[in-house]
Amino acid sequence: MRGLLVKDFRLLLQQKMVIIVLLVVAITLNMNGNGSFALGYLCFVGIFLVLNTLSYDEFDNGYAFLFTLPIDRKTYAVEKYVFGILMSLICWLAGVVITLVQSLMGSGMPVEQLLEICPIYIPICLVFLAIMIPFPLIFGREKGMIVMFVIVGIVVLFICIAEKQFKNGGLLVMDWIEKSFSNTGYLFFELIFLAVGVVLLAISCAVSVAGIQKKEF
Amino acid sequence: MLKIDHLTKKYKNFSLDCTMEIRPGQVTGLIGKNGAGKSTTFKSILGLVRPDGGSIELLGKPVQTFTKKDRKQIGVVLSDSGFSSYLTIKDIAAVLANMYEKFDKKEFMNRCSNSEMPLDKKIKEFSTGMKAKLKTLVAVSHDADFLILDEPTVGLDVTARDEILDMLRDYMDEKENRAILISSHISSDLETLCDDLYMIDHGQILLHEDTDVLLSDYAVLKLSEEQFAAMDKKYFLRKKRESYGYACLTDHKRYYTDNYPQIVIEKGGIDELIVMMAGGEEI
Repeated sequence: MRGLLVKDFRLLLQQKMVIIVLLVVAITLNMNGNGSFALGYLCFVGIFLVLNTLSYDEFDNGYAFLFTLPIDRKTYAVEKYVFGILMSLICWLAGVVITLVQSLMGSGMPVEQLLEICPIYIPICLVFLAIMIPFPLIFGREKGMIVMFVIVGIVVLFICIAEKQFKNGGLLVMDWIEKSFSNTGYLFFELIFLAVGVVLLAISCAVSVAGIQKKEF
Repeated sequence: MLKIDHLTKKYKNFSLDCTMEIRPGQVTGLIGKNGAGKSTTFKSILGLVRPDGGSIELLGKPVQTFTKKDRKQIGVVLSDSGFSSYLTIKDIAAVLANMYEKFDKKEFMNRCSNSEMPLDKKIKEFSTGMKAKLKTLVAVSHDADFLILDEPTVGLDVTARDEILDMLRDYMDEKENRAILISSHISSDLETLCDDLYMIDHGQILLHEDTDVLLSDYAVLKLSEEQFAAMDKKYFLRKKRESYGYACLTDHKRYYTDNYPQIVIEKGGIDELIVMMAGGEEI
C-alpha cells in the first residue's frame, strides 16, 4: 500500500499550481463570505483530488499495468479510502486554519461558534467519500458518473417522498434534528454523524473491494 | 517457469486455446499477427482476465494463488499500458522503491540518465522510444526471475529496438535460470533474441520450434504445377496457391536441396513461416 500512497501523493504534487490556485480561491472567498466557506470548500477539494487519482490510474488503460505490480486488487481499493481519509484530514485542517485565522482577526464568525461546527465537516467528508469512490472505481470514470447521478437522484427522490409522508403524519425530520440540537448541543450529533460516516465508509469499501475483484482489464 | 495447459478464453468472435511451457534459462518468443491471441494469453497469465478453462502455473504456483510477494519475482511490459504519464522518472523510482525490496534506485536512475531520459519531465512528454525503454528498464530493475513482455518494441525504430534487445540480453546474462516470454510481430527481433518460438494464430498454437531449427531446417519451396505434382510431399507442412504454381513450407530443407537441386528454395525466415502456417493449406 505504501507504494500506491507514494504514487497518489506524487500525482497530487504534479498539480501544485492547481492546489495553490484552489487555496487562494478558498482564502479569498472565505474573506468575502460568512467566514466558514473555506472549510466546506476545501473538504470538497480534497474529495475531488482523490477522485482525480482514480482518473489518472484509469487513463490510457493504466489499470492493466498497475495490477501487474506487487499489489492485489483489495489493497488498491482500500488504499483509495486511506488516501481519501488522509486528504480529507489535510484539507479539513487547511480549512480550519484559514477560517480560524480570519475569526481571530475579527472578520469571520466567532471562534466559539467556529470550533463548534468544525468537526461536522469530517463525517461529511467520510459520507461523500463513501458515496463517490465506488462508482468510478467499479464502473470507470464515465459510466461511474452516470451511475452515481442516477442512484443519488433516486435516493434524493426517496428522501423527498419520505419527507412528504412524514410531514403528512405530523413529523418533520429536520424539525426533529433542530429541536434535538438545541436540547443536547452539537457534540452529540457530531459523534452520531461520525459513527454513521465510518459505517458508510466501511460498507462502501467492502462494495469497492468486491467490485474491483470482478473487473477484467 | 511457466506452464500453460489448454488455457481457454472465449470472446464474441474469438476463442483462445493455448498450451506452452517456458523453462529457466530460456528466452521464448510468442509470434503472431494482430488479433492472434498474444495479449489475451499474457493477460491470462498476469491475472488481468479470467480464463474460461485450463491451468496456468507461474514460478511453480497456480496463478490464482499468486500473492503480492510472488509478483515481486516477475517483471512486466505491456504494449498499451504503463505508469501514469503524469509521473516523472523520479516519481516512478520512489514508487518502485516502496514496492520492491530488491529495487536498486541509484542504478535505475543511472541507467535512465545513460539512456538520455530526463528525470524530471513527465512521461507524457517523452518520445515513443523513451517510453518503451523506460517500461523495459522498470521491468528489469528489481531482480525479477521472469520477464513477461508484450510487444516491448512495437512502434520503435531500429536503433531503439536494438537498445531494448541489448537490455534483455544483459538481463539474461546477469543470472542463470532467469527466463523471458516475449511477444512480437517483428520477426527480426525474435530471431536474434529467442531460443524457441511459439506461433499463434486465431487463438491456436500452430507451431513450436527452436529458433535455430526454424532458421536452418525450414524453407519455402517455390514449385510449378508440374513440379508440385511430381514432388515427394511427405515433409510438406503447408501449401499455398500462387501465380507460378505452389509455395510449400517444409521443415526438412536439406532433404529437398539434396534430392531436388533444380527447384527454387527460399530460406524460411519467420515472416515467411507465419504467412505459410497461418495462410497456407494443411497437407
